[in-house]
Amino acid sequence: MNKKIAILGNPNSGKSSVFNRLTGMSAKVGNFPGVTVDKKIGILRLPSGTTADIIDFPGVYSLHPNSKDEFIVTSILANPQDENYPDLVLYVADITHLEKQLLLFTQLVDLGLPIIMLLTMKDLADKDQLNIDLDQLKNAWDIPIYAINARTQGSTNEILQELDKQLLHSTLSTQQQYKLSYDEQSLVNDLAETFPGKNVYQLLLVAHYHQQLNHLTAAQKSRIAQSNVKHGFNSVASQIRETMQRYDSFTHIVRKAASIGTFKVSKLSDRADDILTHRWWGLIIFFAVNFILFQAMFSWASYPQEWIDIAFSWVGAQVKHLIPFETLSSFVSDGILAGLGGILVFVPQIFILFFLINILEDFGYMARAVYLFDRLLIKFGLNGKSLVSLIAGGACAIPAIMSTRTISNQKERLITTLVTPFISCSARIPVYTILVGFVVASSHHIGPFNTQGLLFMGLYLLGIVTALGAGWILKQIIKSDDRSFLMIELPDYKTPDFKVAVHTAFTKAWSFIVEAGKVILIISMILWVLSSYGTKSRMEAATSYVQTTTQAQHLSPEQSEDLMANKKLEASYAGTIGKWMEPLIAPLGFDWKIGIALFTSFAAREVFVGTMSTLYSLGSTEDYSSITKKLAAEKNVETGQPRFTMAVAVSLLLFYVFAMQCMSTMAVVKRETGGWKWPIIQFVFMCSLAYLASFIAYQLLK
Amino acid sequence: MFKPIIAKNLRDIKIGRVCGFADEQLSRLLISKGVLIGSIATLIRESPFGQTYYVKIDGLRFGLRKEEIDVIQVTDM
Repeated sequence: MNKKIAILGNPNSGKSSVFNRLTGMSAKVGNFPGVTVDKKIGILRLPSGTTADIIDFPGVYSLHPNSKDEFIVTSILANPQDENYPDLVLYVADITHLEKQLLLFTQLVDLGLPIIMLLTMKDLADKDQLNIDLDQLKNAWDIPIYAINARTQGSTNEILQELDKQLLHSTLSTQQQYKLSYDEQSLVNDLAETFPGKNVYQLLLVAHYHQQLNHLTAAQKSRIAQSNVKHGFNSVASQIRETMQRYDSFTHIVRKAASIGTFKVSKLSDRADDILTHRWWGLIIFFAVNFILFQAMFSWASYPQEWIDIAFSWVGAQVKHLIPFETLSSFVSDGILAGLGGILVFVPQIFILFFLINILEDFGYMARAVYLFDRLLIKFGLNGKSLVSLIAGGACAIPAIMSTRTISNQKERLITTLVTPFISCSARIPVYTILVGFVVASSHHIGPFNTQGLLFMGLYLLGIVTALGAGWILKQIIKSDDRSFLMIELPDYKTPDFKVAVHTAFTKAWSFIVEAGKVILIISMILWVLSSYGTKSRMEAATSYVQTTTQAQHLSPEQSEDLMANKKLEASYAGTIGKWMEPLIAPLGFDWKIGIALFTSFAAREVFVGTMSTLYSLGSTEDYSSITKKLAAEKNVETGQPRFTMAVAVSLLLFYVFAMQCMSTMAVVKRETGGWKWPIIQFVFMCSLAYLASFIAYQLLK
Repeated sequence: MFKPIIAKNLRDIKIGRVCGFADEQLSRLLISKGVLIGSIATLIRESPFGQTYYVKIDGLRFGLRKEEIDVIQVTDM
């Protein structure tokens, strides 16, 4: 087994840059057991030839956690048997804010962990003429300390050698930093009998968090609870006492070692904030930034998306060519490959959006955006931190929902999870693109604006407003005693680390592929079966119909093939389901063909386009203009009027804005909320709303 | 002469020295982020939607809700 090195530090310490610099791009991302917190792990090859695992822990201020995310650090460090318990800690702190970043460090010292300290942002300190005498700090804590500047490669080798040395025989600072109160000491003495071998501070952590610590048995938990009562242990008061005492212990050490006052505030950041957090300019800039964000996402992503499309249709054609059995080749190309393509086509957008969000985050801007919008969002049951999820929802709800993990309040996190799918994701765009043409002609203008463009924007706005409205309703319904707070640190602005942003975006895209991939792939295969097979008599009837029509009307082989696909789909189980749905959706203006399209959209919304093109005998074309032409020519059998009237198109658009049609999102909601209850409520709520909105729109407009 | 310390609200006096906290739960969070007794706090501005404040404390900047800033008790400098 490899030895483990943990990277620990405060949220804005430059931890991620250090991790990236040490591991390069080789790091992998997994989950910490039992919780959904990203665990970044890399393998270090040390100068001595041995290897060690290096784990990037979530950034925290203290071992007394403020959120579920942060609790993972406490739960691992309170249990030396945990598989992630480190053999060595690499403690990262920002040298320009050292006085405020050592609380966690002294807690780690008390856990008896060997520590190497890495001070980042040395370049910034140099610029401010802030000099910290490292020797004084080394003497005070008896540990190796290095000052680096996060972007340059310089001292990496030196650090690797130090890691090597410390892993072999660590020099341990044994001096306890926190002096327990009399009551705490007697409580810990008590607990030491139950848990022999645990260190004093570990026992104190166990006393604080025994309820949530999964490695303890029920019997142990109740014994701890009894001891706590016996010794009159007050967890909050004890945390405050501990925190204040720790600050007292290190503040004078840092001040003595520093050449000038350590409260250096970046003047540049102040000046930037005068504008970026200004009451009016702040908002205007926020919307401008978002506009650019999405503009970049859509325009940059369109190239790789095209390549992916081309690649998949090429592979699909090769498969049809190479596999002689028709059923198998159809299954591979229309079931598996179509599913895979449907997943991968979103990857460029997700990658680009998260890359840009990460750049903004690293730059320090996202914290400001959270500050700007917190008050508005709490009115709707959300939190300033919901903003990232709502923005990311513009690409895809799946990574957006996974980003809710940073929201510490359970109720606000849940509401964010539930309303994010209302934000129009990129899978809805193809559907909108086809349908807006039936609502208003592309040549129509209102003033200088193209009306279709305005309608598009209206659909997005409708999604945002609905998300907020639903949040407001949920806020009234869901009860919670969990206190909500903002208390966000607004760090100094700094040059973003592009490597870290690329790596994070890559991770997000990869987790999307894994999360959405398995669901979409399975659904895609099921849909293939449902739309390829039907009862024997119907399928035979469809085949003979096509044969007679081909002969009677002298259809070309291609036309005949398209007609065959069309009739087979109609006769298939999917067709049967569509027809069975018809009475239910007729009041919305939909026929069985739209029914099939709605049904197949449950794999992913954009499947609507592919299904429609098959239903209208266009074979596998996804050329929008030919689909639109075909849809426009379609007549309603009963009235003889065009099938796709403005009323039907509006109704269908509204349905796609509101309905929960994405099974992968539901699977992610299930995992994040720990059960089927919330995804089912979400599904019923969103689909009922969609049905109601479409019903009203169609009945009013028809 | 002995002068009694009068705890004031940062929203009223804009700049002051932290002398206490009015809420145990929230103070736990504040001190873990380095807001301590003796820290110097300055209220810089209010957010566009109101009731959220941009506050500087000992060289750190924070976004604090009204309920949070009200927990911080300050005295005149």
